[in-house]
Amino acid sequence: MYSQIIRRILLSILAILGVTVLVFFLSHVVPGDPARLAAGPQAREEQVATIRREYGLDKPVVEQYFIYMGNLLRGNLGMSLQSRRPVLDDLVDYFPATFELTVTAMLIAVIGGVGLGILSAVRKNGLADSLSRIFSLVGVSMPVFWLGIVLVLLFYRQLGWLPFGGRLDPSLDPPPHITGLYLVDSLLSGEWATFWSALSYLILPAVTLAYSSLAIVSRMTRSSLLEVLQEDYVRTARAKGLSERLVITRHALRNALIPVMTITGLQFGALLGGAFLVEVIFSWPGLGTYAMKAILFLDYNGIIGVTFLIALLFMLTNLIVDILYVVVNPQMRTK
Amino acid sequence: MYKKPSRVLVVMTVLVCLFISLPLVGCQPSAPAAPTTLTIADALQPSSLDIATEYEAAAMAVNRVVYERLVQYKGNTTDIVPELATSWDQSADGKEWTFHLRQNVKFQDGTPFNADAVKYSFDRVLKINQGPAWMFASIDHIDVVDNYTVKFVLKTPFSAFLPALANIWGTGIVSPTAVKANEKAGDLGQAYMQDHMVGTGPYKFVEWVHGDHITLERNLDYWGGWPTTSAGKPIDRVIIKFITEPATQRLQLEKGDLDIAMDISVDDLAQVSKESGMVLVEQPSMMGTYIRFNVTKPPLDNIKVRQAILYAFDYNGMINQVMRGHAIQMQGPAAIGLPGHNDQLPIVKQDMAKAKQLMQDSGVKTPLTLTYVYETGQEDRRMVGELLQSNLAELGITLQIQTMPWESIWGKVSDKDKSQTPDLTANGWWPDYADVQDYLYPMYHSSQWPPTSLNIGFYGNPQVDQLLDQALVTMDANTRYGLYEQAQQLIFNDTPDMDLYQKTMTIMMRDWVKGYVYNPIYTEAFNIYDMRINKPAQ
Repeated sequence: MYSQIIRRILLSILAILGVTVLVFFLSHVVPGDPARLAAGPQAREEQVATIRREYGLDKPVVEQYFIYMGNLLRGNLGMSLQSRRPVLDDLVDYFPATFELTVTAMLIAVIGGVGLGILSAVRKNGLADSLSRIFSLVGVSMPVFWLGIVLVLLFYRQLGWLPFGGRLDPSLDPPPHITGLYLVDSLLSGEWATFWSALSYLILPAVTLAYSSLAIVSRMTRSSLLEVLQEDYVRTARAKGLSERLVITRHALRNALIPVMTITGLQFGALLGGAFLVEVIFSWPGLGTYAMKAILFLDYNGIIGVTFLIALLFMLTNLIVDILYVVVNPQMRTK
Repeated sequence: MYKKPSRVLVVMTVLVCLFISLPLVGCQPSAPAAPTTLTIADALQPSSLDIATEYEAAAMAVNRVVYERLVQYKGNTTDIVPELATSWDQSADGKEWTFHLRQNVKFQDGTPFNADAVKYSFDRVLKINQGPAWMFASIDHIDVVDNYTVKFVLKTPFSAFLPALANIWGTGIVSPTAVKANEKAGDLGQAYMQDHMVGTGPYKFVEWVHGDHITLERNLDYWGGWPTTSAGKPIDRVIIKFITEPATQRLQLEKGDLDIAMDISVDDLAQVSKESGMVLVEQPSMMGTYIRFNVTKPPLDNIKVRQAILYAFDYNGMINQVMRGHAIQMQGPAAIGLPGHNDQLPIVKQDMAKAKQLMQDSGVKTPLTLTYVYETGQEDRRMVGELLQSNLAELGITLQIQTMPWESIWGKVSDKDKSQTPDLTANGWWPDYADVQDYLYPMYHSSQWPPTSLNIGFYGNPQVDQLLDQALVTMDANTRYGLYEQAQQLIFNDTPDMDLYQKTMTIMMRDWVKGYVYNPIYTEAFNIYDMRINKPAQ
């Protein structure tokens, strides 16, 4: 089991290394001069040269890559050309917003998806099943931006129940920076008004982001649970006289959730990617907003920093899923 | 056995309570808002707030009210009036400028404003030598004459020096104490000033939540005082929210969560302005859009071909269809409204017969193919290209339209091999300061070919060069403007480009916002000190 985990970790490190090579060279072959972009259209050539020198852009690309990797190992992601400050500081500012949004969406997708899947499976072909299947079908087929707009029009514009645009009522001060997650930080510092405001701002984007993943998780849970419910050990459990609730929660669900877990790990990556679009719709000040500007400015360090972070998270999530898989499924341990 | 259902029950109860309370969360007024808050939406977030390096429209709004300059443009004009200087004198040769400073002015950190601060601020801009520094390249050194008198000594006379001092970039006077206290490894406080501002203006910087908003607060110690006028009380708090999506800005403005939206889509302007409570402020800008000919490359080295293209273009279609009326046609190479603009030049009209005749006279054989390049994302320039393409077809010219990022265009025009430069390139220009020199010199002087500056069609006329050089050192405004008018006439006759349109600036605001005055140089800034909000209680 441990050798398996170590192998996975080593493979992940290799993959991340591959990502840095790919992104670094891809972003550098895009035509354009980032130093001139940063200096502005009226800048004199000497000003541009100064920026080029300061940011090491005057060196050959391969040399730039090794300098970058050397700095990366020391935890230095370089300076951002667009914000003119360390990329790490930018990520510390922008990433928590994306993480808070993605994790909330993930929770909604998993709890809602599994719940809906169970309901659908145990009431197979009933009204609840049909409704939940329609709900899931709509979820997997609806474009995320369209859903976002519909929710905003309904809950913000028509009903006025939920706010929209940003993470927090701008008249409130953000909570003290502990984790960067507004919900957690405001709870830790006991700022209830801030907590409720942050929560109310989070609902619409998180639901928008979660919907399609929720639908996928729900469909997966339903089909997997239905398959497991046909197994002999389920029949045995029923024959023992266990209540249906216990049969499902104790015996069927545990086995049914193994494929759901794999899908969930992959969904986290999809949610991170989807968050970029949702952030634009909801003016959510996260990595998507930052990455967009970095790309427009040809801010190499910014682009690589964001990609590196996302790749790292994606690997980490999949690693956790793989480990959980081994933990949940005893067969895997012996193999 | 009994514990499990009860745990489920507790979880369910909590969830149900949460969901029931959600609508209430949205409805409840979240903390009492400041009595008067002005909320502005801007699609762009500044890269930096450092007055020495920032050089982008996104920083204009905060810069205008947190910092003050020696001189400023008055109201909606390009007239220069005092701000931190009370008066000024210039030497006869135009090389020495002495400013007498306002007394009893304090920076927002409580330290006094004086001549040392002025010298420190400009020395810092020149030492850092980024962004706006090029506008002050003529400064040789700055002398502190006494506590409230400062003298700028220039290397060579620079007739646009005062207009350049009134511009918004690099001119704000920063608190030397605040900068020095936060200097690290001789960085002149750059790391700190990147997201801090300490000036003398009526509003002080509170916070910048990156990607979300910037908050400013009224500077109660402002030297100008805070009179309550009949229009109402001053604005206490300013929130500039960064909202990239025009549709989001529109929704929030309609809902009343925004007071001003700067980026309502052109498609929505007409509709939104008809809604009750909305005011569309539309003013001509001095932002010019051009198509530059590569005059070094056949067949565009032939003036008759250039003129044929000039007269073949449908200018009415450009204003009415492409720009949907949100622009005015240019009159010559400099923007209408700038001091020194030549009002006698013709405004070109489409004349296909004349165009065909010119083409015939040119001796250039058709059919021929030309390339037109515009910057990716500039949709109006794409449509201009398509319109021109259909017009030129009548002359037997096939126009190939290409799009690329500005950096790639820049790479092509900077290439030593001029045949790499596209035949026609669309570009835009906006004035940093109100002097026609800022248009003509960088775009038409033969010393300004790329990569030096923006003469991207490689135009050169010794007579024009001479007039521009002479105007640069002529201090008398009327004489100088006369020289510039002659230069504009010569440039127009040579037809190195097609002068297309000046976009209008459109800002949508709620009718409870009072007292906004548009300035054609401070285009994306607001005179918040004089503005008032009479918002009905909700």
